[in-house]
Amino acid sequence: MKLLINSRPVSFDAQEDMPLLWALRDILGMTGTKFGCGRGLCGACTVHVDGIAVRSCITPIAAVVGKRITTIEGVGSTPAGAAVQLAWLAVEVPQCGYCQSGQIMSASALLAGNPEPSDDDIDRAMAGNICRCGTYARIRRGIHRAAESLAKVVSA
Amino acid sequence: MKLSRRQLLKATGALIVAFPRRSNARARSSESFAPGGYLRIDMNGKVTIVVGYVEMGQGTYTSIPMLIAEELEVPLASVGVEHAPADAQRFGNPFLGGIQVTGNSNSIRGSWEPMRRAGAVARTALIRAAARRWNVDASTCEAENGAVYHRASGRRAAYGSLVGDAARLPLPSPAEVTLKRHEDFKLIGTPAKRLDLA
Repeated sequence: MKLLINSRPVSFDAQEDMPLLWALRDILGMTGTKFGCGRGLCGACTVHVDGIAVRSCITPIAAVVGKRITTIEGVGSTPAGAAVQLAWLAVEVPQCGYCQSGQIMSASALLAGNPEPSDDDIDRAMAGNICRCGTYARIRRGIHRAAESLAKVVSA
Repeated sequence: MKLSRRQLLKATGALIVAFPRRSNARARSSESFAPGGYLRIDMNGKVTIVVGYVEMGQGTYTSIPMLIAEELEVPLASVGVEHAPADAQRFGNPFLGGIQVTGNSNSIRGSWEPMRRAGAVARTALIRAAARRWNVDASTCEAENGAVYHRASGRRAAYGSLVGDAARLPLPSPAEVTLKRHEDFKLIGTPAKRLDLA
């Protein structure tokens, strides 16, 4: 299989119905993306495929051949991803951290498409990302903060 | 292996403060709890605190260093954290039967006095080293912000510069050191930036 991950072409042997998450973690050693439920219910495994947040645990690798895949390891080189990461540190969003790769991926996909999301927009976009620690209020604050910093970059 | 109550102290370019707890962790005297902690100061003054409790988002990598930094008189921002090895003798929780386990909301309860004593032992050792160097009484010196001061003569020695001397002196026992009064706390009881988010 040949995939384009974080702007880097990679090739490896795997069956084409293997979930992208397995390939990322077990074959490519990119363990920043987390296994949560394995059924697309929790959001911990979220990556971007052509800029859209998708659940890598239920996405077969055959479905992402020829597409741009971005993981938590690479999202910091996108403007929205970098803004989200800095906001996450400033607000101290994570508690245990397990779901946070997925939260950051969903948040940066949201901001890339909607630079000024309302609370409702945030709640809708983030509804599929579950956090057992309950950091939702800080996630919302982090997204607003990242949106503000992106607006400054744009207007500057 | 029978561990002595005396210090494990090596003059290897770092002051290492480590003392085993008595094997009978149920004993209630402060001596038998104390200090159960471990820290390292290198010659550049860098403080590394070895935390025996797992960080799972509940904040142990910040709150336990706060206990030590408070008594040691160093800013929290200057402290690094390392995870402890498996060593129930030193890192067992006295409130959980001396087992090295994290849970049950017992990490701070189990650390409160031992970790503060660990910091106070290091602070006392550094003050004694400075007092000896200056040939003054240790009681006329004080520690603040990573250094020892002798105000009467305007002298100051950064912790890093005292590490070698302190390592060659007998380490004060956890039971003999004086803990800070609660009203003198600068760090404990304040909101702190998490050390594991940087």
